[in-house]
Amino acid sequence: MTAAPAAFVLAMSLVLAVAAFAQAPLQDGRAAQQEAYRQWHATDPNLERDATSAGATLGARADKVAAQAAKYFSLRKDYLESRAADARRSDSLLEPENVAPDALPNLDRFLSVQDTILRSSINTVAHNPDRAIQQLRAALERERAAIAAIGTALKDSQKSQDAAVQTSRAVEEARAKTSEDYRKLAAGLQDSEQLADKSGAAWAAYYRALSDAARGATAPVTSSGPALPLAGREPTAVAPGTPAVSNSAAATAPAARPAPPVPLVRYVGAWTYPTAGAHYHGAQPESADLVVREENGKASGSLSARFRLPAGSTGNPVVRFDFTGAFGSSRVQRFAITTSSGLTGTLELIPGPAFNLLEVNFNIDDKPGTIHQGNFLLIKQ
Amino acid sequence: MVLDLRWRFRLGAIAAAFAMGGILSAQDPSPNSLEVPQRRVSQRTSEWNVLAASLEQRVARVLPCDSQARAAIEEVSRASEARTIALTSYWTTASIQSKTQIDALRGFMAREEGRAGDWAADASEARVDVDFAAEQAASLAASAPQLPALANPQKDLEAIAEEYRSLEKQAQERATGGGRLLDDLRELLKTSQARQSAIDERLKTVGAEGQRWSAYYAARQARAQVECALVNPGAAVPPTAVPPPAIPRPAPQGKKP
Repeated sequence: MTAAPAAFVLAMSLVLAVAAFAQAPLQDGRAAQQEAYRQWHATDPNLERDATSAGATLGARADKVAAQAAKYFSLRKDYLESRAADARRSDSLLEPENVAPDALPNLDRFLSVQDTILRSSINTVAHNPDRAIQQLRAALERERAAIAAIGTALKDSQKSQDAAVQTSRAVEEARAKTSEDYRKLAAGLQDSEQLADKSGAAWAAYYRALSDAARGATAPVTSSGPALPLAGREPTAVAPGTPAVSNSAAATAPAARPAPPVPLVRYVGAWTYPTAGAHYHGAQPESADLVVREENGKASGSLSARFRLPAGSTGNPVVRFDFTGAFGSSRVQRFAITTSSGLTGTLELIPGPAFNLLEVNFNIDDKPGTIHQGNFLLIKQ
Repeated sequence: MVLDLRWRFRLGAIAAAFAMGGILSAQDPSPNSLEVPQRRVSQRTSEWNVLAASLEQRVARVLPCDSQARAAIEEVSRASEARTIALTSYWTTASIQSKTQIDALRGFMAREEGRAGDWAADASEARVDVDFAAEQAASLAASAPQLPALANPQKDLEAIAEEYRSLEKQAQERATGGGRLLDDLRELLKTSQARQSAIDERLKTVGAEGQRWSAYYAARQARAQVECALVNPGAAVPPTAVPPPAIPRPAPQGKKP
């Protein structure tokens, strides 16, 4: 009473597993990753072509494309993983069913002996006219016929058992091959999943490198002073060993005052964060206002910005600081800053790709609950 | 006819027992559910063998009307039926499992057939990716003289193109493997269906063999009654009706069939 029910339970489990399996939204996963792929490639098809001309805005453009690439590779990884899991599950459901032959006893001798004895007994009483003896003869003949029928049934039994064993062997061979197919498929999908993950990381690194390279185009290699690496980027903006300009007040002397390679009007004035078509890298501003003044080659000004914080964050979204310093000879102007709460840091002002655009890049001492980095484009008011 | 009905009733009872047990024994996981019925078949066959081999000796030692003779025949007959029931249980279990696997295989087949296009599409998309990465790398290479810093991302793209070539190779292998899997699933389904037919046939022959043995023991019991009546007409219990043998006997010579 235990084996058959166990088979019943096993069978039902298998049926349920297969049914659940058939509903797995793998097709949706494939469609989703294809859509993400299309969006990635459509986001900014001219990104590479503009690498030499887009300048500072390329970073923000590359960020957008990188975000789409990351989305695609995440979906691609999920898709490959789900298919690999699917193949592993299929393999596990292909369990072998070992149909073992039931031991058929060799009854040929028994049947033969019984038949001989019965035939002999029948012959012995065959010519006896006694009614009771004839009844015995009839009983013996029925018994003998039953023995003969068993012989035929046993031959059929043996034949059907051989067929069951033989076909079971064929099933087991086919099952082993199919199981191997599934295992190879799962392993291959897992390899592809890992490689896709690696490719995703490679694309992210590529977009970062592209952005850095484009930014490097805006920084002349003939500046002086220590190099300041840009936030979160490789220090390719300025060639190694070629220091950038320092704009500290102490470093400037009226006699040797360097002039920026672009008109001061590209830095000076009132700037604001655009409500449409905004570009940023890292923390997303909600609003930003910058004022830059110039007097005798010296710059001063203030920045006030509010950033969008992650949901549930209790940090301070507002950044306010003043800055002052001399304009340097570099396109990228750097100034020391001091926030309202006394923190210090650095501000970079970089003329944008258009006359009325200015890229702002600041770093402030890291303090928990405060914004300490920002990078965005402002438009002149 | 009486025996046929008896057998049908017995097999019906076995099937009902399976259904009841299915509800009751969910906590009885068995790694290979054929093991238990297999052991039971061996046990019942062995018990029947011992009794059947010694039956004639046991009957010969007692007088024709001795109740021990009748009891000995009944005991072997019951052992034979127990063996047949064990065999029926074994092959019914095998049949349930086999049918379930066939249903599962049909599901796998349908799914893999539906995906056959996906593997090929993956391979062709991987080819497009390789070309895309190579084109981007070439585009940057052209700009590199104007902006030497582009050498770094260009190298990144070349590395990506190389990874894409590996992905393309894997996708092509998957497309080939997917076709092979489908072929092997078809073969597995075919062989499983053949096994299902063989198991069903085996179930029939188990039933038929059981009937023959029952008929034989009934005939043997009937003969014992006749032998008893010969020596002691008053003591003999009237023999039970014995069905005609399933295999028709050849007609006696000189008589019309």
